[in-house]
Amino acid sequence: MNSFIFLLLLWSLIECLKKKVPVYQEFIKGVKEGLHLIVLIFPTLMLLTLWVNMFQNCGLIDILGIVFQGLCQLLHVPIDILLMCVMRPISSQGALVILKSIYDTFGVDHIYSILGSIIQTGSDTTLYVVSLYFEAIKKKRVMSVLLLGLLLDLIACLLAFLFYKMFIL
Amino acid sequence: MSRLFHDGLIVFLIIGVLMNREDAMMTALLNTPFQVFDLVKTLILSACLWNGLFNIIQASGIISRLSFLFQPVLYWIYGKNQEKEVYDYLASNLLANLLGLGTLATLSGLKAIQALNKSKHHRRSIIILVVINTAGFSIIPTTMMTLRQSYHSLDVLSFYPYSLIIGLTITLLGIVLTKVFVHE
Repeated sequence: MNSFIFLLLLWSLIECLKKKVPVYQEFIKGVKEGLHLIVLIFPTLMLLTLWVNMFQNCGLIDILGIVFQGLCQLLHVPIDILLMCVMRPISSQGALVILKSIYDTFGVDHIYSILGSIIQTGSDTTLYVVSLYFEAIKKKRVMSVLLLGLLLDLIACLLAFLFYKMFIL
Repeated sequence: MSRLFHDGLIVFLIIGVLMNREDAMMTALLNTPFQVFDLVKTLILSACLWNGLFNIIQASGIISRLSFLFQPVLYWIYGKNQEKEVYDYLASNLLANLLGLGTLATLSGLKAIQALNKSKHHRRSIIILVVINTAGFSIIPTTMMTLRQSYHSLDVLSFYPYSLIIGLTITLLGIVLTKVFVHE
């Protein structure tokens, strides 16, 4: 992987040399554009972080834990797995903290840990992606896209449970 | 989105007060700017570096060649009616996602959505781009492999085939659902 990136860079630099592209100016221009993008998404990042922090600390997760208790017994999984499913589309870091606690409790090669790893890598942080991308073009009506993203996250979790029941358990 | 943030915060505050979580919530509130600072610090430096390198790669013409390589896939996903520059950004976003290069994927994705927004036929393509990025399908899940390695796993890749199938399935499903239900 690292070799691929360095070979790509080397290839680009040789091509730039052939085409007499001003590499220095191109790099500086790119850095300036990068700064501009960050200014554009910074307010969304602040609001998103505040929202996720309030979600994680208001006690809603404890309520979900009680609600999911029956489902956990039915699926033969610990509560942390279902909390990961809820957390994954909202906060990647939050889901990762739960996954690490599963690793610590059961061991990294336990079936629960493998299921947790599948859930973590099966999809991305939908809320973050939708907020960031639509903020970049100043689009406000995004609920349908968010719902589609969350539906796909749900399908990813259901498939993870299906594989767990069929092949891992 | 504004509604979700607004209503969500109201619900969280009510639940927090009812469950006596004021202290935890206040700590979280005070920590928020520092967390954002850490996030932005990483993102800003990576974004500037990667965007600088990305500009060099783009100026060299390699992105256009990669875009040509990905052309059949990009045409199937986004249709044939976009500018060449847009396909370059879409190709680099697709490649960065597949290789698990998170920052580069975000950066090229943001450039792609801005370029798509300027084009005439963009509504469906914008949704497809966002859906592909929410699915985050990667053939090299570097972060998870590194994490499992750090825990001395005996089988670092035990999760890999399943997450590969799931990622591919939800990506394709997302594209198909958008194509069926969203019209330009």
